[in-house]
Amino acid sequence: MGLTTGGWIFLIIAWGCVISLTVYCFTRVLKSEKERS
Amino acid sequence: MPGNGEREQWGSKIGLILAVAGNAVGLGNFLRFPVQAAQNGGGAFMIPYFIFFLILGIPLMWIEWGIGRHGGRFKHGSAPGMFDVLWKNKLAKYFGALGLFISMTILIYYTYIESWTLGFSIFSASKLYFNETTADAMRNFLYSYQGRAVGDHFSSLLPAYLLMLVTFFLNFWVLYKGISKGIEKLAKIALPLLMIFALILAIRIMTLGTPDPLHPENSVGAGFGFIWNPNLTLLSNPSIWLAAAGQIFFTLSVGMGTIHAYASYLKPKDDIALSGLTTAATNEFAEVVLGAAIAIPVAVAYFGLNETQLFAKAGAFDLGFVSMPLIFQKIPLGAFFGSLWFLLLFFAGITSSVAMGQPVVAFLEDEFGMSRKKAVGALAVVVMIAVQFVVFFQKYGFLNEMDYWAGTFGLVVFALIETVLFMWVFGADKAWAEMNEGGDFRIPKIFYYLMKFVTPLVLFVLMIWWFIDTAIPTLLLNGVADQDKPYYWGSRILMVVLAILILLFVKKAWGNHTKKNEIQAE
Repeated sequence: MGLTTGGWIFLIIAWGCVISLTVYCFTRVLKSEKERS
Repeated sequence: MPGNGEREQWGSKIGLILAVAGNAVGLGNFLRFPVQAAQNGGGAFMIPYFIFFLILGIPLMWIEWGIGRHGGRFKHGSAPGMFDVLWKNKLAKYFGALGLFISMTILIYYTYIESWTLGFSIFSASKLYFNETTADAMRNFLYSYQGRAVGDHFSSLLPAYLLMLVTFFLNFWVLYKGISKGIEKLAKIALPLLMIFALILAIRIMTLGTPDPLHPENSVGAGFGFIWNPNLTLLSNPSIWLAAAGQIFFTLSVGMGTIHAYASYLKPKDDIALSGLTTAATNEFAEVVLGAAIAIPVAVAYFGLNETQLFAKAGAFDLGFVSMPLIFQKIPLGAFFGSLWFLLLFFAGITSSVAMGQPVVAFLEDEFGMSRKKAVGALAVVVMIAVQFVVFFQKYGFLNEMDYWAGTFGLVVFALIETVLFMWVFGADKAWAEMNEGGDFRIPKIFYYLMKFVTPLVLFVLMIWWFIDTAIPTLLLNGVADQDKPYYWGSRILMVVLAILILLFVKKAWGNHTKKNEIQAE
C-alpha cells in the first residue's frame, strides 16, 4: 500500500517543520556571521 | 596550535555548528531512524518523536552547550573539570569522569564499525560483492569480512584489520591537527558532502517508482507508506513513546561529553542559543528528511514489505550492509550509488568519531598541561590496544557488550547527572543566564521549566525503564550462548580497567591542581 492521506499529512507536516526550522536557523546564522564580519 | 596554556578556538561559527552537527549526524540517522519509525507506528511515531525532540532533545542540546561554554571559561574542556566548577564537591569531578569513559569506549568500537563503511565503499566501487545475489550470500560476505564466517572473498581478518588501521589513522590525524585546522576543516568538507550524497541517493530512490512491473505492490511509494502511514492506535502503547525518546536521545549524540568539549572552545559571549538549535535542526534534516527517504523505501521497492520487515527486525546493520548492497546490484550505476551510500555513512561516522576523541584529548591538555601531540598520542595508544579485542572478538559479542553499557545505558545516566547538576545544583537561574548569554535570540521561557522539571523527569523514567527492560537481562547475560560468555566478561573487564584508569587520572590531575595552588599560595 502506498501513502494514505494520513501518511501524506504526516510526511508533509514532518518534512515541512524540519526543513523550515533548518532553513530558518541557517539563515539567521549566516546573517549574524555577515553582521559580525 | 597555541601553546603556553592558551586554548584553541573555532575558526568560525558555521564551522562549529557543522562540527557539532557532524557529531550528531551518524550511522543512526540513516539506519536506525527509519527502522524505528517503521516498527513503531509509522507516521504516528512522529508525534512522540517531535514531542521528545522539544522536551528532551533541544533542552539537552542547550544544557550541554551551556555546561561546555561555562567550563571553557575556566579552561576545562572535559566533563570532570566542568562538573567541578558547577558543583563545589569532591565527587563532582568523578561524576564527570563518566563523560570521558563513555566517549572513549564508544570511540574504541565505533572506529571499527566506521571502517566497514569505508571497506564497503571500496567493495561497491570495485563490484566485489556483485555476485552475491541473495540475502544469505550477502550476509555471508559481510560476516566473512568481519571474520565471523568462512567465505569466498575473505580468508582472514586482514582486509578488515587494514581498513580499521586506515580509519584509525585518519581519525587521529584529524584530532592531531586540532580544533580549527582538523575537526572544523573536516566538518566543513564532510558534512556538506554527506548531505549532497544523501540528496543524490534520495532523489535516485524516489524516482525508481515500481522497479518490477510484475509486483506493483513493491514500490518506493509503498516504502514511504510503510514509514509514514500512521497507526494511531499504537499511541496508547508506552513502549512507542519510550522508543521515540530513545531515538531522539541517540540521534542527537547527547550524554557522551562530546558537545561539552566542542562548546568549551567558545568565547564567553559567543552565541549558544541559535547554534544549539541549528545543530539539532541539521541533525533532524539528515534524519527525518534524508534518512527516511533512502534505506527503507528502496528496500520495500525491491524486496517487498515482508522481507523489508525481516531486514528491519534483524537490525540496522542488516539493512545497511546486506539489503542495500543487494539493491545496488540491481539498479543502473549501482557501483557508483553503492560507493556513494557507504561513503556517506563513512563521513557520518568520522565526523562523530573525532568528536568522541576530543573530550579525552582536552582533558589531558587542560588538566595535565600536555601538548596536543602528546595527548592525541596517549589516546591513540589506549584506543589501539583496546580495539584489538573488538576486532578479534567481535564475533563473540565483545562489541555488543561495550555498545550496551557505554553507548546505550551510560548515555542516559550521564545525561541525567548533567541535567541535575546544571539545573538543580548549579541553579536553574544561573544556568538559564549562562545559556542566554550572548545569544542571537532569547530562548523561550517555557524551556526554563522544561529543562528544570520535564527533561530530568523524562531521563529518569527512561533510565529506570531501560534498567528493568534491558540492563538487568544484559547484566545477567540472558540469551548469550555459553561459549560467548567469557568474551562478554572480557568486555566488561576491559571497560572496568578503562574506568579505573580514567578515575585515577582524574584523581592525579586534581592532586596536581592542589599542589600547584599550595605552591602559588606560598
